[in-house]
Amino acid sequence: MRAFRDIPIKSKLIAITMLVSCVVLLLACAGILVQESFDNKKIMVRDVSTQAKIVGDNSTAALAFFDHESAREILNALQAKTNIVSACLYDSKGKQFVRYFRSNKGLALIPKSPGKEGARFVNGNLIVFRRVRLDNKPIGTIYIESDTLQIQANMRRFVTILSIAMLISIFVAFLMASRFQRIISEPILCLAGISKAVSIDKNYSVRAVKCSGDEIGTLIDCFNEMLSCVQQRDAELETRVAERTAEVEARNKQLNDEIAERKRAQAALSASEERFRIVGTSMHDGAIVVDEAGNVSFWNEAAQRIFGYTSDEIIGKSCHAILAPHRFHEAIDKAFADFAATGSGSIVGRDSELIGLRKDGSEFPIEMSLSAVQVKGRWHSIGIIRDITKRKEVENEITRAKEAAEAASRAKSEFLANMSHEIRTPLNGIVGMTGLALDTDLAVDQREYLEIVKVSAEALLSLLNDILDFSKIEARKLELNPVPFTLRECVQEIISSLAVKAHEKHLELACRVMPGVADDFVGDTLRLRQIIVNLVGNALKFTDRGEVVVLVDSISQTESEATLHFSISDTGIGIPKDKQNQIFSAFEQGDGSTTRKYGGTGLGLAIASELTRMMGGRIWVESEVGRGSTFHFTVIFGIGEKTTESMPLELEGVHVLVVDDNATNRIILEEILSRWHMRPVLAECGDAAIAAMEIACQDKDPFLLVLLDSHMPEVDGFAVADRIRTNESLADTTLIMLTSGEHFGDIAKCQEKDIKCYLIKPIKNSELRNKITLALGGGLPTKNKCATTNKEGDMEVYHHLRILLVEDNQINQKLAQRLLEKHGHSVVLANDGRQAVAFFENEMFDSILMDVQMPEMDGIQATSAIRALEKGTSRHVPIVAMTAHAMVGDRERCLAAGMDDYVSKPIQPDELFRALERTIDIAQGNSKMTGEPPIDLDFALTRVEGDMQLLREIAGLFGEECRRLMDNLQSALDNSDAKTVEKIAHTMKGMLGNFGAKGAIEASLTLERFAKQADMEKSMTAYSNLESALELIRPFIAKLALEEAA
Amino acid sequence: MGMAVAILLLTALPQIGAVGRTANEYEVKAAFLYNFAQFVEWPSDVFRDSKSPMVIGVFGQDPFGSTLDEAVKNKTVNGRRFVIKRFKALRDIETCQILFVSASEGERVEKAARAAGGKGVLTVGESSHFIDHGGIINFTIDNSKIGLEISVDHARNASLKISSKLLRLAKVV
Repeated sequence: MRAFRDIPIKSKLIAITMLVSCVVLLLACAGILVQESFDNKKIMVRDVSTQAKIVGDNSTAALAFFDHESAREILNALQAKTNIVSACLYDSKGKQFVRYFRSNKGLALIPKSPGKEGARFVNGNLIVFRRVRLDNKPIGTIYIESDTLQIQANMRRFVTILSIAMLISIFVAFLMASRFQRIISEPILCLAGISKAVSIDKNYSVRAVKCSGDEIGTLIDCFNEMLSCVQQRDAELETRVAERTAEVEARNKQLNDEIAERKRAQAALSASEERFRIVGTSMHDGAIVVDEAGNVSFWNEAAQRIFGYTSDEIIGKSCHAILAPHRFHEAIDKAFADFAATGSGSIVGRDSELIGLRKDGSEFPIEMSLSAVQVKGRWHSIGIIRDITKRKEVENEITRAKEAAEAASRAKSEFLANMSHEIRTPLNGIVGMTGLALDTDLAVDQREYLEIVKVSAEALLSLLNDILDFSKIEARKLELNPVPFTLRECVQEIISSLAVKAHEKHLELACRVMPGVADDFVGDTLRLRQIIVNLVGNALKFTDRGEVVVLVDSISQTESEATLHFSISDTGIGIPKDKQNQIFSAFEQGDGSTTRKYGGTGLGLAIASELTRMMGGRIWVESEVGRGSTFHFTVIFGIGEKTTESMPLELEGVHVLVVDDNATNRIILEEILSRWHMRPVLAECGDAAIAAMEIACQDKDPFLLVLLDSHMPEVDGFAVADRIRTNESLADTTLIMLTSGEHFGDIAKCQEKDIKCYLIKPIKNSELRNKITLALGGGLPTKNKCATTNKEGDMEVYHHLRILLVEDNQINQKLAQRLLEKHGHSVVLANDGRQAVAFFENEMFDSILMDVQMPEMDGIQATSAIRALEKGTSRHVPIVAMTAHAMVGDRERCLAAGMDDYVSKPIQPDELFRALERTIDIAQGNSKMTGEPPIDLDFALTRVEGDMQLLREIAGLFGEECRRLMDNLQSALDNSDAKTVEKIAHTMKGMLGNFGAKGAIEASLTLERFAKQADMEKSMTAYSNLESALELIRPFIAKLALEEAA
Repeated sequence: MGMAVAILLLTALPQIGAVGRTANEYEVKAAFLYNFAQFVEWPSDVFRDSKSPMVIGVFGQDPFGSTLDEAVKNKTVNGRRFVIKRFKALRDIETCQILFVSASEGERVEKAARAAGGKGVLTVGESSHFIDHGGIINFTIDNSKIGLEISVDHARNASLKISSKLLRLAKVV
């Protein structure tokens, strides 16, 4: 095949044509031969079959009549047919009847019995079996065998003729192929010749001649076109080659330069490597490289110096097995396994302080910075190691020094706290006793001296407080204690506590919380109070006339926090510009002379400044000498849970006139009243007030209520009241007097002019609201809660209280006892907590004043014990803590232990009584044990189904019955007859139940309980308690009975 | 039974010549009678219809016994059954298609043929001058072998066509 490809196209064409011709001829001849052979055979079969039929038919009679002679004659007739080799006639039983054969050879071939009917070729001969039938019934079989010599001869002749015809055809085909191949081959040869010429001579200008329009013609066209292109491209290439050659030369030059550069870099790198090696070996820190198996692969001189091993001793050995103390091996093994897998670990990539092991076996601290390097997929580590023994020593030294310093600081602060306590106790004595002395009859000069003593002592106390606070701030020990509070209530309370001082100097003290400022916050009210008290105190101190106004506004508010802005303006002496910044520094005041004139430590503003900073705000001042100052501060409070103020519906729409000469007060009142949906009208003087009232009257919308300021220039409040009362159309108006100070006889004046009540400014919202509600409700008793701020009136609201005073210090004991007894209370003294608890168990008290710091059992413990005893009963005795502890958390500790309130020592009478008042209020809210009529009339009436008459009769019997039972109790107790005591106490309890006398019922219950326990001693105490309780209710019951008599 | 006779006939054939006038001779002759029916063509009017039987009559003393009955039993020719009738006296002869005239009655063949219907009766005998007396086919014994003499003229007279195949086997007189 390969050879064929290489022969000339001319030969190829001839060969292909010849091949095709031959194949076609051969196939045709073969087809004819096959057909001829088939036909021959068919003819022969037909002939022989016919022969058989003829012979068979002729033989029927011979067969029927068993005539062999005749049959043989018939068969012998076959001799005429030279192709018949043998023949045989079989009878109906299949036996040979007669036989014929051309030669003896044929005899052997005759089958013994007849075969299947039909013709078939066997061994090159044709044999035919045919049944011989007579009247359609087989009576025998004829067999004829014929040779095929005739056919073979025919075929041979035929093949000879065909072969000759074929040879002639092939010859003719060859002649024609040789002739016609030129049509195809010549143009191709021509083209080949030209392309050869082109390729050899590189002559692209020659062109082939197109002589036909077929594919070869197209080929020649394309070829010519290609030549043109090549010719053109050649020219272009020439120029390009020239260009490229130039470029390559340039590039070569550049490469040479680069190689030179590389060589220089290589040299530099070698130098650098050398340097690195020198650094590695000579650096001060130990450098160790550990391979993936954990063995040391690099070890520098510093490492040798640090650990004591030479590099020969350690290279190739397990790093940590040698360099780490044995106790760490397990942990390091584990960590190293992780490291080998991941290339990371807890000490990789940072400095760690570890313990190393020297060759001499000593351990020492090292600092190691470990980095991981991946080489060929394995993790190696590089450790830079430094011996930090010295540094550690220094660190320990520093730690020790720091601890020592801290201890010293702690000691100092404890000392300070203790000192404060120690100083407070005697100071307490001085202040208290001076106060008591001042209440006695004294000569004028004596009173004057004592007043000075008192003021000096108070100054000393405030100084002490300031120093303590400041030291705490300095020591960063002051902590904020945020609690939920209502802003207006809180600010007003603070301001009202300062009112007395203001009024003493005849200054207006007003407070205004801007409308729109929320009311519920979370913050440290104690510290807020401290700041405000300080600033307002200063303002009052430096103002001789005019007013001090506290303004509260909200600057910004988020969901969780609000920034409030407080400003305290006065009309005082002012502060010069150059001093304004200094005043917030400790121990600085506006002027050196100021101290002399106004006193003070200069710590107050520093403390306030610190406190505002702690509360997330700042403090600043605006001032003009002679005009006054305004101190501003901001604080951040948390937003508290909203407590909605219930709207006083009864006040809604009430037409109210406010008469005050002070504009600030007018605005404040207007805001407050508007909040309650009242309709306030403002008047700045008496004349304007009367005029407004008259106009309102004419408009048929008279004022139901007038709030009158008592002290106004020209016409004061009482004069205006007079004018109102004397004016017929206005006389019925309800009046409330507002006063800035307590003036002797004010109460009397009020009663005289039918003024429902009076209020001392600054006014608390809640107080004002209560007063207005009461006044408008009418029919107020003369002694009512409108006098709560009246010092004298305070305690009159309450009954004389039975107070347990728990105090270990004798001076304080005496002071408090005197103070309380002066106000008509009875005092039981306990020297420590243990005693207090014992007293509590046996006696009833209205309140307990509890010192916190005591020997044996302190106030906190005692309170816990008392509260534990109360558990399960309805009792809750108010406990007020008294403490000199000024440290953070004292108040919280007290309240957590179950105390109800807290006063700090030295005890200020005001503060103490206020606390008592508050706690009694709480107790009343809880159990109504005290402060209320000891019997519950309503309850009693319900018991008798409203039959007043019956109740009176019972009351009449009570006195006598009660006496009888008490006598019996007494004698039973004397006889230690617990059973009887229990029984009587039970009866007593039932009897008292009729009157709802809770205190007495409880007392009898206690007695019954102790009697049941057969504890006679306690029963005795309980008995006396019951006695006093009965003492309390007796007058009421007697009164009830008397009413009957009346 | 016919099968057994046929087998007997065929196996006995080579020995026919030596048999002589024995029981076997008549078995062969009975088979020949049957075969004649196949090689002779009767005019169609001798049969009442296509189902009418081929009647073979035996006139004179019956030499066949039961062999003839057995030779044709259950056989047909052109769809016709065979019926065998035996006539003792001339006056007994009824219509038949093949009439075997025994040797004793060879001389009265013509009368017998006329009695059997005249035309269309194939007369078969076994006496030496049977043909001379007007018979058509006569059995001969030649060299212990049963041969046939057939008179083509008598056959033509009787309106019968005898197959050339049969004639080839017989001596035509």
